[in-house]
Amino acid sequence: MSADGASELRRGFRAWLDEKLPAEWRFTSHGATDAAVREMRVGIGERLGRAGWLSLAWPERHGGGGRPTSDRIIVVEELVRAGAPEPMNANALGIFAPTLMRFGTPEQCSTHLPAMLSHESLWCQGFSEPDAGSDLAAIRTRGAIFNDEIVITGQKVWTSYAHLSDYCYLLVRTEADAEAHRGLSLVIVPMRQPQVRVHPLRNIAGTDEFCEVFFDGAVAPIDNLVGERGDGWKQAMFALGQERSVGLAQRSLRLTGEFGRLARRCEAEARRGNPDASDELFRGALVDAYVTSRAVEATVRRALEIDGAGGDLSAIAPVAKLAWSEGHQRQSALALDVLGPGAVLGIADNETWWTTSLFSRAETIYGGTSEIQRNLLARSLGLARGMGRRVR
Amino acid sequence: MFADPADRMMADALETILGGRRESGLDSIGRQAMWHDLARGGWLAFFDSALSDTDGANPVAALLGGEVLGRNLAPLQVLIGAGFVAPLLRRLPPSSPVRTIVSDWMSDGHAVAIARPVIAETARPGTAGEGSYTSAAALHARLHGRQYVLDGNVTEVIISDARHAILPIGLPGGGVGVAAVDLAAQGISQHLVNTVVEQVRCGELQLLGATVPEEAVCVEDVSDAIHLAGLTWSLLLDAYAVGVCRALIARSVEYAQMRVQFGRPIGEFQAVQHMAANMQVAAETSASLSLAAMREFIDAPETSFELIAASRLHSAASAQWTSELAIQMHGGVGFTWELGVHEWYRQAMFARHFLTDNRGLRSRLASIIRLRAAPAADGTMTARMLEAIHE
Repeated sequence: MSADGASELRRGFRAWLDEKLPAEWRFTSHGATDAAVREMRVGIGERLGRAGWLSLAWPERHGGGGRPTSDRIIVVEELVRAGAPEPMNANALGIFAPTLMRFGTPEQCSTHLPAMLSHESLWCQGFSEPDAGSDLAAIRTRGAIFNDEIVITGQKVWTSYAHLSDYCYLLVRTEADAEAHRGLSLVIVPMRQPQVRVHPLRNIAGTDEFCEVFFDGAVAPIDNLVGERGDGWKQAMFALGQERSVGLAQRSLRLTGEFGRLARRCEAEARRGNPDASDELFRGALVDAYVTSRAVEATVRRALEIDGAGGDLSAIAPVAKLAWSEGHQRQSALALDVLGPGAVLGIADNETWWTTSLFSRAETIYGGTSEIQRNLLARSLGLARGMGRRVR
Repeated sequence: MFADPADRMMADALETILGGRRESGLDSIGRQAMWHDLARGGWLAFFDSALSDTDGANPVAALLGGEVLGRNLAPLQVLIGAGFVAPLLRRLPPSSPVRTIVSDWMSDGHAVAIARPVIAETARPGTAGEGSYTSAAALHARLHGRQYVLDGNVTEVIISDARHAILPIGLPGGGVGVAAVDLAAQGISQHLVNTVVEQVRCGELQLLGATVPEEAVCVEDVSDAIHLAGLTWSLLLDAYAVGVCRALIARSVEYAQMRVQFGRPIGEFQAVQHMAANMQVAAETSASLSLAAMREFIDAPETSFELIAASRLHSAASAQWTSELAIQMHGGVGFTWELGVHEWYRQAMFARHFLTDNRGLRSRLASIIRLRAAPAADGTMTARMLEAIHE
């Protein structure tokens, strides 16, 4: 796209946001109640989805705009600039939608993608289990196939917004006797059935969106299998690959925007006479955070370029995840430091900062823990368990 | 990063020239030969062109080339020539004979000494501040017949093997010119000290009635040229640092695959693997930020300081941290001179502390962050903003 075209897209989307994004939804925290979440995150998702902004880079055959990834990044940049909440289906649209387009049937795509975009249906991800976190291949939730149905029994956990969701894209073990990585399948499961029980789990930030989900003979039609039966590991890895590229770009660009807000708040505090905000040590730390945010942004943009050109992300995607998640934790902690003793009081917008800091603890855990990312990097460098035979 | 085949071939060709000849393994004559090969091979012009506003601008090639220099621990005089002197010469007035004089020196294989370039205080073209290359312009030049007579001291000069220097001259009406000086000339004395890098010596030049030919002095204000050369210098240092990181990762991984403890290669242990992963994070984030800064410099040099400063701080820290991790991964032999890991660490220390103006860059960035974060100048705006925050 030409520079003029990019500017036009940016101007057009900015004008759209000015009109459609209510002031009270801007720069809010994650939304403490279901009602608030529904109003903001479903609300913005519905508006963006129906207007085609969320599917700008999707192929035209799937109802998308067929535009390059760079256009999508412009949309993300403007969402960050405007302080828009994350669309409720952001996870599904970023991770599952590309997986469905790659492995799903035309019928599955035409049935689910439009409703996912418009937020008529809400989605959750069912991968992690109590005994299968980092070791995802250890999942035990069973998907028994009887004629034209899959009967699901087991438990998932860390299933964000399961209690609000209509569908779950679920990784299950369909071949009981197969080895760990084999015998898994990806299936679309309707959540509104009595055999699905959802228990919200209160997280460290005090909200309930992480859930545990029990499947006690829940049923999905066999047509809901995504791709080949027993091929779920490949699909899950593809899905997680999406998580590490475009999904990460959204969050990393928010890191830069959040730094700007932190700097403004810090400056306002200093002018108000808060000695912590004027402290030279914290000023120095602010420079460190700035440098980190620029490094993260540059790394993620480079990863997107490599991804867009069909290149290998194995040596850089984990770098981007580590640099972003650990950088964001440091930046969030710094925000509380510069706000001084009032940082943890319910004054001004301090709750936003402490909530961000609390939530940031999850970022080095989900989407592959920092330890898993480092393992992946080490493997890409040629260091792995069992690489050398035992010498004695 | 997308390196097209031509960029890759370029990097391979440079690698071939350097041939793994690391500085430590070369005596003064060997370093001179390496420098000679690069200068005569057009590599100084290559870097100058890659980081410019010409058709030859190519940030990917500049990054790759700089990495090769770093991987091979190319001598500092190469960095000075490619990163600072060549870009400075190209931006001097076309009519100035200084361009030809210094170019000829370099083409003949002679290294050129400079005062330490510092970009922080020259962030705004045309201004010279304390502590910068230009502020070292304590030299005064007065015309005497067909010669200039130079007086004054120049501190923080990087000399190494150089027999010549290009030094800043304070102009009577303000601004900065430059003089091409033969260091063997009468009236010039050197006071040098050793540095943490064995082959590099730095120090002070005292000029007392030193004479140079009239054509060897440019008395036009070249502050802008010095400023831009300082930026390319900073960018090439970044690429060099990325090369240092990459070389250390390769060496450390190779060592971890070979070194056996507890009956298995130490690279099988997660603690060791994660050190390598941390090195990779440092290298890749530095490569990414360097590339972004180079692109910004080529697209909009007048506003590129901020990103270039961030990149310099990040890359300098990455090279030092990666060296420290490499020492740890090598264990006992990382601390001794057996495998040469110390050379990378010393180079990284020198680059971070002497070649990078940490304090100046951090101070400038802090000011920029504050400036951008500040509300509009009128007090009502400030009050309104605070009200909104604290209501």
